[in-house]
Amino acid sequence: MIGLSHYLVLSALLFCLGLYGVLTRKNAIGVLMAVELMFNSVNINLMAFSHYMMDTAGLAFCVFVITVAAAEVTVGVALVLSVYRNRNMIEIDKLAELSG
Amino acid sequence: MTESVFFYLLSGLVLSSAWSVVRNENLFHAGLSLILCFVGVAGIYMNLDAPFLGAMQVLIYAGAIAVLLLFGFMLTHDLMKARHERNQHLAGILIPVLMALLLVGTILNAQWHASSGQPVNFGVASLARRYMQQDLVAFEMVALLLLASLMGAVVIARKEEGSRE
Repeated sequence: MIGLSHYLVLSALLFCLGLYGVLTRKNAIGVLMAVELMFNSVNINLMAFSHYMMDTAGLAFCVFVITVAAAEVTVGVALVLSVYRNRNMIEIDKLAELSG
Repeated sequence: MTESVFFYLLSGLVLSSAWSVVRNENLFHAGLSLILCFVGVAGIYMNLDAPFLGAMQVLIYAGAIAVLLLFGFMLTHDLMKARHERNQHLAGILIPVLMALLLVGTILNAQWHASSGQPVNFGVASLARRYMQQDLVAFEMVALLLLASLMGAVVIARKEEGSRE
């Protein structure tokens, strides 16, 4: 029998995989991909709570999160393209001019 | 019974493709694994009785976001000087592992009480009723956010005047 905690554990593992990707990827596009994994884990969490609490609030939040993720990735890819045009590379560990 | 079988199959698909997303040396293959992961998450939503959300997941995530990321990768990819290695410092491995242990331990130790409410329908009609009544302001704000991010992306990504070679 599948309970709420099964979905929460799946979501936690997916979130930590995304966190690992964000911390270790060097390419900015790879970091954006890992961020999308983290968004998805949050959505699984929201939808699991919505299903087991028998309330549509989580579903409504899920659709908002999907919309915000679409907006985020649009601006993110635009930023990456802009950085690539100016610097001819998108390795984020080298983009450290502001760090003093 | 079928719910548990589907859950374990989809969890395996999601976690293994997510592992490929964060570990694959070839970023293009990582992007293809990302699409597989999104489709698996859509299956999870179907398992949770939310077919509309599953359809949105396939359309927006697997259809639009993953393709946009792959386009971004292909536009910025230099075959000649591609570097695929990762940052290998300890914190990058330690922080996610500790966080996973903390989260899973907390989830498994907590007492989850079953809700006594009425089963609700997660179809389009209940969602639309919710958006047009309780969440109307948030709904309009999200529309505004989409417009703003569209204009922002165009402004950020275009070439500046006078910088053409």
